[in-house]
Amino acid sequence: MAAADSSSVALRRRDLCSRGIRLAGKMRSDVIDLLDTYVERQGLDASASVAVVEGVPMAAVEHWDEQTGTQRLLENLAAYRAFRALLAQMLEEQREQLGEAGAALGRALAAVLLQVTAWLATARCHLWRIEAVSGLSRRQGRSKGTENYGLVKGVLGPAPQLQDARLCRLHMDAFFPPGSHFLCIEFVL
Amino acid sequence: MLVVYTLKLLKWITQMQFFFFLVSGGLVQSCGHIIPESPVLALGSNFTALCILNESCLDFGNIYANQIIWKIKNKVVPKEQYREINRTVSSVTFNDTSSLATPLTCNILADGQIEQNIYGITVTIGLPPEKPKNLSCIVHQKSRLRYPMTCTWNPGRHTFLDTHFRLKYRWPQENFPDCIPKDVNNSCTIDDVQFFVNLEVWVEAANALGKAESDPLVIDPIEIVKPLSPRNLSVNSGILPTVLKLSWENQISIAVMKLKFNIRYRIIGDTNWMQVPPEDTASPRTSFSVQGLRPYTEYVFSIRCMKEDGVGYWSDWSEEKTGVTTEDKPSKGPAIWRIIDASCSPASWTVHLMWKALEPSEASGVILQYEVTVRAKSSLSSPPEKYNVSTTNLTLKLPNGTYEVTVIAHNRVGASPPSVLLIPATPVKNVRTLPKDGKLWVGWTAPNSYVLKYVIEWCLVSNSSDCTIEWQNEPGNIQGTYLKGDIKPFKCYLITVYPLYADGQGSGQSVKAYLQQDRPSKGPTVQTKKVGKAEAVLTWNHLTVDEQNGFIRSYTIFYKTIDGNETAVTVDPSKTEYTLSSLTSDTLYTVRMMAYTDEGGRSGPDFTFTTQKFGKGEIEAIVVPVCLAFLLIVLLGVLFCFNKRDLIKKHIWPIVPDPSKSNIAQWSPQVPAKHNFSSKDQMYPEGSFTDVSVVEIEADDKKSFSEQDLKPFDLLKKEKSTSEGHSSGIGGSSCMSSPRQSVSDSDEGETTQNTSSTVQYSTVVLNGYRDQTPVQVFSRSESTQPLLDSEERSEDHAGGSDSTTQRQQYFKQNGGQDETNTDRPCFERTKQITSANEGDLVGFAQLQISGQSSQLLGLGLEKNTQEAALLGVLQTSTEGQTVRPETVEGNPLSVDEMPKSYLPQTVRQGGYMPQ
Repeated sequence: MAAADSSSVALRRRDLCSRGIRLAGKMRSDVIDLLDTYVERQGLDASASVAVVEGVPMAAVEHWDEQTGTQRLLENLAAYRAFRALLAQMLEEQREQLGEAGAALGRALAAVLLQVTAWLATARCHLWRIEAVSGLSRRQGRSKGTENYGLVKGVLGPAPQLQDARLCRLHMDAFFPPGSHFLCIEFVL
Repeated sequence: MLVVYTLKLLKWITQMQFFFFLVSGGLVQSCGHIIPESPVLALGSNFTALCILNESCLDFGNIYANQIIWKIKNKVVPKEQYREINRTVSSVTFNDTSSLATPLTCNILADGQIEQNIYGITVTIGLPPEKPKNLSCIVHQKSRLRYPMTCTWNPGRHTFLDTHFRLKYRWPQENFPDCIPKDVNNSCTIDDVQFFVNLEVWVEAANALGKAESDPLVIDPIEIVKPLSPRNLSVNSGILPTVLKLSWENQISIAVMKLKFNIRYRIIGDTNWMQVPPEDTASPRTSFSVQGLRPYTEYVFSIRCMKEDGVGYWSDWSEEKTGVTTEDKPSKGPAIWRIIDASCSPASWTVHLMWKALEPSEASGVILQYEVTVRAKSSLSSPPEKYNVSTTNLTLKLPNGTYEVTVIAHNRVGASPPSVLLIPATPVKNVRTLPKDGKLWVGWTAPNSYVLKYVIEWCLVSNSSDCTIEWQNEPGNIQGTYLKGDIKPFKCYLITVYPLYADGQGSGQSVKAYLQQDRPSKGPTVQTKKVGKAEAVLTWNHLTVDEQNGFIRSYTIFYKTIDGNETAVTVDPSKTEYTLSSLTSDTLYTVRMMAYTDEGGRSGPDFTFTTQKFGKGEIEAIVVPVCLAFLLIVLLGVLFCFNKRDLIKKHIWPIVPDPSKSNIAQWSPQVPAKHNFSSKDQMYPEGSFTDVSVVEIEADDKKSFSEQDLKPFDLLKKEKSTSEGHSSGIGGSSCMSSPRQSVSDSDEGETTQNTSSTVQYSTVVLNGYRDQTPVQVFSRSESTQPLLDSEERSEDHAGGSDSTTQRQQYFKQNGGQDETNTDRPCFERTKQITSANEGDLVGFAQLQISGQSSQLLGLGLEKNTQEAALLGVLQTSTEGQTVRPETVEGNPLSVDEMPKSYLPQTVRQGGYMPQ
């Protein structure tokens, strides 16, 4: 029974950690649908690929071997923030240009924008987790994790907002027992 | 609640008197107010209110705080709860707001006694909201891109206040607008949610007394999705007859969710679902091949899905789709049996082969035909005979012997394994049945020989239908089995057990059985076959097998008299007749009959019969002697009469004097002329009367007149009747000739002579003869003319039982009249008649005679002085015989005037004067 529970927690933890990838996957799927709709509506070249659309975050596989998980996370975070800004701009322009006729397109854009926001929120929790684990290691005199601390701190600012920390703790503590140093390294693209 | 309180306040306002004062400008201002204004209080808390009087009112109204009275509704709050803070402020304190009600008013006793209201407030009492509990959410997929999330919670206790609930949710660094429930307080739906990010969800409840929040639910909405079920399910037959391939479309993107599936299926018409092992469909897919199905069978399929890791909810089952597996060759041969009829010929049998159609699961397709092979076991060299039939039976005529019969079923794909039957070969013994566990068990004792298997054959015995045979095979090593079929209770089954040997089959042994018995559905209808004086033979018919409901164990006959005890007789069930003995003669018996099974009996209808009064031969024994005795008496009587015939004749027919030889015959025609006593004779000359055949004799109870006395009157009648060869007898009361005959004869004789009238009236008045009681007056007319009314009345009068009395009275009256010499009514009527025509006169005559005959007699018989006149009246005409009563009225005769030859002295003396 206990083994089964342990297995279930491990399964869910993996699910949690892969969530960023899956969210990104869904985002890409929605963006493809969005692009198809947009191309069809605008009468553009149907062979357009998401890959060639500027601003869509891509997996930087060529640097993976050279980067730590935290670095990759931070890199993704920056990319998605840029993507969100792009989507927000597109949404604004779409509203001005298409008006009510482009309502469906606008909803699709808004949905993708929301997902990007969601991804960023999740990424922040992972960063909080990294920060928490690093702080724990530092207090325990461990060297592991401290290398990331400065990076995370630079991204999140001097101190995580109280509400974010509470929410991240609420969810992640269910998968990461207190004192655990586990981090989701698969989170990023 | 607030609304209710407000309404109450308005009502209260209209009812209350207020203490106002006018201020400059004409505005009306209250003399005080209450603090707090319209408070909302928690139930059970304490509360203090202040009533503050305006300073201006102190002087104007001369009122102070010590005069303040607090009221809840119209009930005064106890003074102990008041406190005068200063001369303008009074407070009231309630330790428990549950004792509060609205309105709370501040009143004052103006001028010491007059209570007037200063101010009032509404008090709203309620509870703060409880912390919402049991918050849960579910995401119902509505379309490929739309995922609304519905959250529900327990709102907690009723607060009695307007309490607002809000579903709040957010991401880290992202807040969303609250979801506000519509019309409910325990659920709300967020239109769209995003997956793969934790969402914090909680509920906030708030009212005037506070707010409360539920515990937050932090969840990734992807974990609570109830996806749409797969759509466009299709079922296709596979290459194998036991496989069907299912295909479908998932309605949720694999980028959103990986799915696992449940597939269920059932044979069409069956209600039980089977399911594909879940582990076989635990991965994402859009098709699946279901195996292990029956060939040529229609299946119904349905599918559902959920998140692959099992987190979330199963979708609804998809719409059902059907598919049919392909055919396969029959899996087994048909079960076969036979009926051998050896009655046609001693050297051959008529063998009825029959086999059962294969079950669909065994047929694996459409059975096109059956191939029957019959091979004689005695001559293996001879080729087998083959028959291809599409039915499930075959009748063959075979020479006596042993045969091997095989049956093979064919469908489009192939042939079944053969079914083999040997015909025929020692029966089983001691076949018995036993109902057990709702089924019918059949047991038998196996024969000594080795038995391959047994065939149990049975049928339902019924009057309404033929015995449809069913049967089943059982292995040869058992000696009992349950009947596999729809065995109904209360029905009779004929069960036969056949053993099958390697070289043939044994004959069957039969037994009748019931799965369950019941009382008969009706009782026998009994009736009598023969009823005697002390015994009755009863008969009845056996109940039909459908009415028996079990084995009839006995009959009981109940019989009783109307007021007697019932007697019961038990009769063997094989009997259909029974003789009841020792019955009481000439008595009504009620009999009924009951038929009994093991479960009870039921009575038939009642039947009644009456035993005879006399036994056989008793009537004959009585009647025959009586008849013989009667005959003997009659014979003796006849002989006696014969011997004494002269004496009898003389007694019955007395010698009647011949009127023609009497003295009166010589002088009577001249009597009217001599006496000339009637003026009417002049008016009606002789011959104007038709005829008269009147003889009227009164033999009253006084018997004052004997036959002899009346004889003179007879003479007048005899004058005519004797000429006809008939004796009219005295007064027509002859035993040889009825009065009617007498009259008729007279009429016949007269009509030939009467030329003045074709209507003949005659009257015969019967009188008692001698001392006999007189027969009632008989009066009859042969006339075809209508009768006078008086005639009818006269007949009635004459027929009355009081006629004698009337006559007697009339006699007396006449007596009086005789003295006064008047009889007006009679006279008047007579006078009328005199002016009438002849027919009327005839009618009158008849009237007088029949209706008032007693008068005539009275006139003639009561007084001797009238005798002569009467004789005059009875004047005879050759043309007819008519009574002329008017002569009585007109000329009553004195005794001296009567003719001496008319035997007046005889009449007076009452004796008989021989002629």
